[in-house]
Amino acid sequence: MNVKSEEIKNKIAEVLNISIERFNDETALKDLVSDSFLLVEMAIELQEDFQVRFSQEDLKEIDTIRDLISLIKKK
Amino acid sequence: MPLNDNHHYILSYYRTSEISGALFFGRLAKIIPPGPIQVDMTKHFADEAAHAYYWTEAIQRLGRDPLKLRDSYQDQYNDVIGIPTNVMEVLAITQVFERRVINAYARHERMPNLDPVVKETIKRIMDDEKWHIEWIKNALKSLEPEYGKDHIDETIKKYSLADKEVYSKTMQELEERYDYLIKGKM
Repeated sequence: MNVKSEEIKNKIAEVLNISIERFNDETALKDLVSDSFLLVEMAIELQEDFQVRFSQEDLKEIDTIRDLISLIKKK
Repeated sequence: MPLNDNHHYILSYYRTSEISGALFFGRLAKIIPPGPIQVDMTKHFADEAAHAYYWTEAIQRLGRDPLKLRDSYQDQYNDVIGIPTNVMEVLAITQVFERRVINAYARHERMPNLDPVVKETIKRIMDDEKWHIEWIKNALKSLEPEYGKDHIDETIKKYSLADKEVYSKTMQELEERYDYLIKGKM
């Protein structure tokens, strides 16, 4: 998918209500997402905004912000 | 009739689960795109919040205060089922969960010597619960062109199996308390 990493990072920061400076490509998602439901919200919002579809299996492979960005880009 | 400890715990558990349901659907209703699913999900959120109020009021009418319980049935789901990642998976999990809720309330309603306050509260909630099953069924149907009927059916089947596992693992305490009630040891 033709989307810039910065756009995805901006959306992640918006959904999590944090500054984009709080994370980088190597940041683990579990360090940013305080509760599991926030992860559900983030997954749904990213899919809606970038018009992609994730499955549970896709998200199981995601550890870092870089993994998440790659998943959206390859969909 | 005053609530005994088992009944008090079960009604408090219902209240906590309804609150968890309201919080879950409230958060979803905020982010879901506009359309019929957004409308029904917002009503579902409002219903769950109302149910929590009904149980709070019922417990107080029966002379007790609600117990502060940390876990609800929904909280046990994530460990076993995993986190739903899209609207279809959220609805599929909810359908399985709502069936579980209806069965639990129906079973409770059949208990002997049930206090009219509890009976009336369950009856009031059950009408909404039937609608919850119906709107979710229709919503999943509407998502078939996007996700595929087979994939939706497989997802519901997968969650149904996981639900049985969650139930058998986590509901032992509640089951024991139900047994006391069913045997008339109110």
